[in-house]
Amino acid sequence: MANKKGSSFSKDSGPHTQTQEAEEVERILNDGVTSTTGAYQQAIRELTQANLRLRQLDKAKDEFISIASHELRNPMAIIKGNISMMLTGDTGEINPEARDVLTDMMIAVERQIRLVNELLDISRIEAGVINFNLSSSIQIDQVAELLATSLRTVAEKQNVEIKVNKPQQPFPAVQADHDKISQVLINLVTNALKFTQDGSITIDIKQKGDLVLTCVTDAGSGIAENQKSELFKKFSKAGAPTPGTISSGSGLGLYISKKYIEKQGGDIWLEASEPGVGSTFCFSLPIADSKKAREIAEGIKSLQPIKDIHLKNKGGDL
Amino acid sequence: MSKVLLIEDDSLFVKMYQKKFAHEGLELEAAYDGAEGVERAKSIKPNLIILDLMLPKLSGSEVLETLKESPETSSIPVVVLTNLNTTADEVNKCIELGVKETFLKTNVTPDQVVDSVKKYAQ
Repeated sequence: MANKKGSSFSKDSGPHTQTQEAEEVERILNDGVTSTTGAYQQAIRELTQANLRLRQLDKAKDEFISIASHELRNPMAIIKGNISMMLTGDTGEINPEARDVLTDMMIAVERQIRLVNELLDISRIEAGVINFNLSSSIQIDQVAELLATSLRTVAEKQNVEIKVNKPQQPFPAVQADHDKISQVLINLVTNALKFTQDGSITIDIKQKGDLVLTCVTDAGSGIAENQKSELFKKFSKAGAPTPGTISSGSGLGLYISKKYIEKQGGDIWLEASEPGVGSTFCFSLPIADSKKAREIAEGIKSLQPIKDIHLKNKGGDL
Repeated sequence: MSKVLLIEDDSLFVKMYQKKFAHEGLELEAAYDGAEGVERAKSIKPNLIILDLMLPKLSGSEVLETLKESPETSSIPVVVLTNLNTTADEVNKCIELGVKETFLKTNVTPDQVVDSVKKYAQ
């Protein structure tokens, strides 16, 4: 219960006339408005400061990830290089058991290297400083063929066949950054490999209007209904890889792929997935010289510093 | 026999390549910072230089610029071995200055570096 003596509106509060009460109400309201405006301005000031602080923290985080990642690469390169020298026999003969141990170490360090690369990609995506080299149009079927060839040895160990299906006629080129599209495709195919044993992985490429669609279908375990909406989020994993398949990932690949594809005017999605049957992931990219491609090229050119457009790949690089 | 100069500040990295090059019958000299690298390049006149980019005293691109200024070192072929991505300004500067090849350290094995050395050493 409210304390009666404390209330200005109490019937028992003594000799207040109606006028006095009205004045009282006005005074209280005015005080309220003044203090509300004051509090409002104070809140805006605090929010602005908090916002600035958050942006500084975010920048510091990106810088930290970038520096830490670059510094991590040296020890990883030394570990990888030394294991490689032992495996190729540069340091003398090794017995089969030691070879097995060294091979596992190599797989682990390669995984770590990939994770650091992905963290760097993410810090660049989130800082908005990622560069796209759209100067040349690329044949996505050729990228797929090359990738299928390079992964065939790994796939055969799991008794998996990688097939590339494309229409017979000459195929339109897409406008995209070659390295980043390779990365997206590698990601989808290695994901497929993680969940497939004894079966086939198919890369289908077809034209649909102004777009080229690329779909990767596996014969894997499929994705559970409740995981479908999480797939393209950071650190999302659709489950443990099938034992005996290639090493597990970081859960960053699809997130990065999505960002890369969207920035280049395309889309990426889970087309179909059935537990026990397999999954199909697709992405689209605009055909070179299409209206969409020109819009994206203009948009990207206006976003990135001039120096980043032509300085790539003059000498060979990796 | 080819003489190679490795300019690299991480001694474990240098040690690894010393072993690899000895195994391949190649001669490897090391310099541990940019300034020492330039000095050594002038004194030993290597057939090829392997250059790291994040170095004390002079950065990789500064080392390259200095080498290009002097006629006795300007034509030595250079291969870059770095932790920086190819999109980094420092890497692009080196590509502009005409390095033969640029490797990301974590992407290569010592075997691949040896192949590159054999291909470009003069």
